[in-house]
Amino acid sequence: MQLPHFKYHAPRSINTLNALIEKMKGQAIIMAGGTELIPRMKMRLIQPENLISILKIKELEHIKIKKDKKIEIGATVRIDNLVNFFKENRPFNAIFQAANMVGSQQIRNMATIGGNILQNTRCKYYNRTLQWQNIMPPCHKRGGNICYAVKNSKRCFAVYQGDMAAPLIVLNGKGEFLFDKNFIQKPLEDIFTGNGAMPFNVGKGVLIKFILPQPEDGLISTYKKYRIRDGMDFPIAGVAVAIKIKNKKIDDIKICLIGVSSAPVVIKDIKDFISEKKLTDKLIHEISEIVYNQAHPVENTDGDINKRRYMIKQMTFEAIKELIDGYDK
Amino acid sequence: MINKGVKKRLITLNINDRDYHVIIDDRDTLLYILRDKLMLTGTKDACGVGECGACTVLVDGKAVLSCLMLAIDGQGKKITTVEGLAKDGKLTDLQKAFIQYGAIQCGYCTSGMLMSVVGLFNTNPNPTKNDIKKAIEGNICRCTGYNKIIDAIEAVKDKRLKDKNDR
Repeated sequence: MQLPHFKYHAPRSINTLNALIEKMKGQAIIMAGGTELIPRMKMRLIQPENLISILKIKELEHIKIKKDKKIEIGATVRIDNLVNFFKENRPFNAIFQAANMVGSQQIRNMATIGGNILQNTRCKYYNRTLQWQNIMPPCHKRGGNICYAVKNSKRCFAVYQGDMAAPLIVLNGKGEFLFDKNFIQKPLEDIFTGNGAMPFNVGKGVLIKFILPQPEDGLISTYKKYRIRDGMDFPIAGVAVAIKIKNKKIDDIKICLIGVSSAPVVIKDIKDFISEKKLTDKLIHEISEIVYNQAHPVENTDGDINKRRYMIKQMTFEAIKELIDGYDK
Repeated sequence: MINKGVKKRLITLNINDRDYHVIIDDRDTLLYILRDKLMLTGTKDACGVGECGACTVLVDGKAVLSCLMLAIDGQGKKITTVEGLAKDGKLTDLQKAFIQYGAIQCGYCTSGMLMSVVGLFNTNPNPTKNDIKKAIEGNICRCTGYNKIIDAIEAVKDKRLKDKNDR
């Protein structure tokens, strides 16, 4: 399968990247590892005039622990490097878990954290061959006004499946974006629109790096992923949980779902619910029920929607139980 | 097909310790250059979208998918294909083990499978069965059912560790 024609650019510094973007006036697409973009280009879902590869910008490929213990992860750090960096790191275990389950070993060697976060949403009615596109009227994501997944829908329900977003969100990660020579930091949950057709609200911003805050005492996290095969596949449901334990009680909790909506779903009202309650299996079941009620997958990827929703409940229970049981060990 | 206005470039790719000067389009994938320009057809073209692993090659010692890598990004890197494994017509221990254990049937996945395993041994000389399964999870085989492949890889691992200890 050949790619469509484009002009290739590979700037070596952030300054030249900035100048290039200005010159292209929105007629360019930025590529890092390419594992998500190239299949989409092969299917002619996008046909950019210019392609800017950011892999040669050395500043973007480092993980650093700063003096204030914050961790900075460059946008083009490979997923495999994340696996090695966060191995046996208890507070940030969710990042290790998620990175270790991205794609296959070859994909982990090529794909980058920035690309994983900014991957486009998918739908079994959108990610199709050119032949199919030619015979079916376009859906919302292809510029039309039909949704094949949710009948009579006025918006696109394509699903966001970036594994790495869930752990970074529960660990309060921020993304640093370059907007016309200004560097702006945004909490990661704020970069999503929730609309499958246009999933990100970063405009012309270029993702430069991620910043993770210093882990607080008693912070533990994990990530669970549901997919049809035990390797390769995108999450058709995923749960990241971060808990802060203080005096044998849950002091703080953040849960984020992936693969069930057009953006990561940060579970609401959970912190107030658990406040000062004793840690029992019953409480974990109740938390799982709250999470279940906020997950609304639609029929647009592999797997049955009821099963995907049920797995959210099951994985939330297992994740919290595993974290709490493992805490004293 | 000649497309007017498309600029061609001359690049140098280091493949199997040999420099190849090739004229490419910006859009050419490494897989296309390997198979259609350099006739290194050991690397297989199957799904084209990164799902099957048949096109796996090593770039700087790491297994990557040549169907998802632009040829132009291969400049300045050390690329190894399945043709680069055997030296002077002699198969490597891994290739011999694949034959001995019947880890090949139609052979279409084999070159990608071999490159994934070489990539695994480069980073981990003593992989567990789970490490092996994880390393080849991106290589789809429709014939052998994986068990014979895993047996062959474990046999190579055991032999290499034994040889190392005997030395």
